[in-house]
Amino acid sequence: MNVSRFLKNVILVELFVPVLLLTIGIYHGLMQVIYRAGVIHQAAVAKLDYYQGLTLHGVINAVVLTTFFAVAFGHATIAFYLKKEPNRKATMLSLILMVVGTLLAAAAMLSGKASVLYTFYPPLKAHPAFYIGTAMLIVGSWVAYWDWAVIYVRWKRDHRDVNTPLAVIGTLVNFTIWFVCTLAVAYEVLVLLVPWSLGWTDGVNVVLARTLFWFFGHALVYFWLLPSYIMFYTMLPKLAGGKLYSGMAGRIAFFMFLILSIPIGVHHQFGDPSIGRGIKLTQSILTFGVAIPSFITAFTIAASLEYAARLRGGKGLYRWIWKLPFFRKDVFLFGYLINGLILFIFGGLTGLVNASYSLNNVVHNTSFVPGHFHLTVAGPVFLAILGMSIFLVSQLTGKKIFLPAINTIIPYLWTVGVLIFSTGLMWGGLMGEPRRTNMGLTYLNPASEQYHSYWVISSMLGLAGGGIMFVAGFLYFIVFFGTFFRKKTAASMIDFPVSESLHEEKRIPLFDTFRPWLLLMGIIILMAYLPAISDALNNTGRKAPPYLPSDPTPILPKK
Amino acid sequence: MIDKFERNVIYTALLVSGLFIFSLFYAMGAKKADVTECLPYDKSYETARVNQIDAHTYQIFYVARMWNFEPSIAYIPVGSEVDLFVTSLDVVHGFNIFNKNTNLMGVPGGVSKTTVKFEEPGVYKVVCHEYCGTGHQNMQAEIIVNYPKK
Amino acid sequence: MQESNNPEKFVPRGAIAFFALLVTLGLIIWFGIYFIMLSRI
Repeated sequence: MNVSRFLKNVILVELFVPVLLLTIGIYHGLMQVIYRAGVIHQAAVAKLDYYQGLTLHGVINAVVLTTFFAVAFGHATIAFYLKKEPNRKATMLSLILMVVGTLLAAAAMLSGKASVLYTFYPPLKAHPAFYIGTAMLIVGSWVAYWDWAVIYVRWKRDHRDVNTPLAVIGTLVNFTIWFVCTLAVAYEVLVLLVPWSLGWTDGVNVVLARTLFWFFGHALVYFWLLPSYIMFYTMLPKLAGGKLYSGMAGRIAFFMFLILSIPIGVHHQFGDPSIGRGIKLTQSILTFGVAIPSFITAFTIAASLEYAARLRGGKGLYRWIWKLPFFRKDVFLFGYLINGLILFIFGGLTGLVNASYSLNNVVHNTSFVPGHFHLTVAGPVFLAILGMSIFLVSQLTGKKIFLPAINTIIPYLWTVGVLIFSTGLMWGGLMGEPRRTNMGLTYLNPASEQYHSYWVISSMLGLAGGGIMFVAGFLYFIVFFGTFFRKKTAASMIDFPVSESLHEEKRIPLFDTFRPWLLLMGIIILMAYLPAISDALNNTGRKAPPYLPSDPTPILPKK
Repeated sequence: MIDKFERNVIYTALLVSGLFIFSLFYAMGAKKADVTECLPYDKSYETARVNQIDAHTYQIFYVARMWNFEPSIAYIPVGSEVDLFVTSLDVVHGFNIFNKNTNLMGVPGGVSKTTVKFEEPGVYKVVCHEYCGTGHQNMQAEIIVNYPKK
Repeated sequence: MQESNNPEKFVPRGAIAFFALLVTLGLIIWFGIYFIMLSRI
């Protein structure tokens, strides 16, 4: 479809800002593995210290990039399927909030005043600009969502008996999850942390802050993942030359995410005091529930790809796989998406381990955790973002892909890197290697009495994998910016591949409406979280004053 | 309403979840495999100390602060059962004895607790695995388990 | 072989095999960590 110059520029800005910042984010990813393997034994490189770099890496890659992309891809999806461009004023407000907020947070991090990591657990304190900037980024994304919700409600009124396109269901489910879960972190940031970081309040209830953060923090990963799922269901079968095995499976999956993404956040807090074990066990069991839509997706996508491969003459129980278009430049998006799925096999399964109550004792806060999440957020999520950003830039600017052959191999190179990296990290984690630690200074420093020689091999694997990932990332930047700077050869447009359904599936109103699901979502959240919040409020013995990461002396108000 | 293979996928996923949940309950009941106990907080937890209850029962009250654990070395005889309590005087710290299944968070205003049985002698390292500031990578304590002098 | 490409008769044997392998891998990984946990108690 044709796109107005306004929407084209908005989407391009919403891709450019995060991708430019991603250069910093990826640089710090590489630096992490270099520090941790003990290649260097320093607290800082080029005036950026380890923990500052880790904060930049986490915030840019996992919050800024993912949020901007979700909004940009959301704009494109809603406009493409509902044939209605977003409201200009709302879109500009959204864009400005997101960009200004990001710049504020980036300034705080780059100036060394926000080395608190992307989880910003109090009582470690960051500069208020970090908290306020992050809040603005999030609120900006809400504005885009509210606008799409209005567009959808109006569209539905005119198309009462038409099944809402699956991609639209996915987008609205995703942002509904996002809006609800970010309410908690917005409260944590704006009510608990900002006044405290300004010195207006004396202490913060740390367990409460953590509980509010993880109300947000787990659902965050589904916010990252669902745009990839939309691509798996609605684009991948078409790219492969086949059809979607079951659109109904997709709907069931998305609505299950809607009700189960949020009421499971406490599985990040199994080691926390003050929260009862009953609630931790309940939320652990609920997490098994949210694994079900992913199992559904694995089967449905496999069946869809099998159908496509058999159409091309694929035979046998698994030989058909080789008939899929892995390296065809004209469907390069296939390569990005299939590699994401391969990584997610391991990412999803290890995620189940992390959330399994007492099993968490084996892995919590060890490098097993980043080993796991680089198979998910740096797996299907990141690869979908890379592939789709190139796709959108090329279509919106009417420019051909730069170095299309390199473009096809980027996801494969990335996948090899992540598999080596995550193997190293997970192995190290099982040997007790801590995450979020500058190991080069002590644990991987032969001159230190804390040297742990058995972490050498695991961190070396991390270094090797991280190095390969860095090369793939570097190639991506070349393709992305190279495409943008080419000559325009086609009209500006958005033309997503749209998968047809394999079977004739009747419209079932229950899976084409939000109200009953929203009600169920609210009920489950209340049942799962009221006890947790109540525990955090009642069992915490004292509040905590702020601390700068560099100073064990608390910042006490001047009396 | 839904394809029969998809339905079987959902049933299989539910079955596997059920198997996992059963295994977790078994471990909880038969092996006491559990996460931290939930105890009411008390200022007395802010004093680091080792208590001996009897010949083979000890309590260690750990206090985490930027950037060390107190007691930084504890001596425990082989065959003892030890209750470990952890709180923090400042920011959030981690507390991990990886080869003893001990994985707790030291949070100001709260106390985490677990129980460990030391059947094997050795030096058990306690590592802080939650970012707690610039000295985080230096934060390690030891529990030395050996045979008591006669 | 044309028959099984007919949407009405398409049986996703390969996907079923893949799913069985996926579940098996999941059980191996999960119980692997489970037994590590039990051995550390």
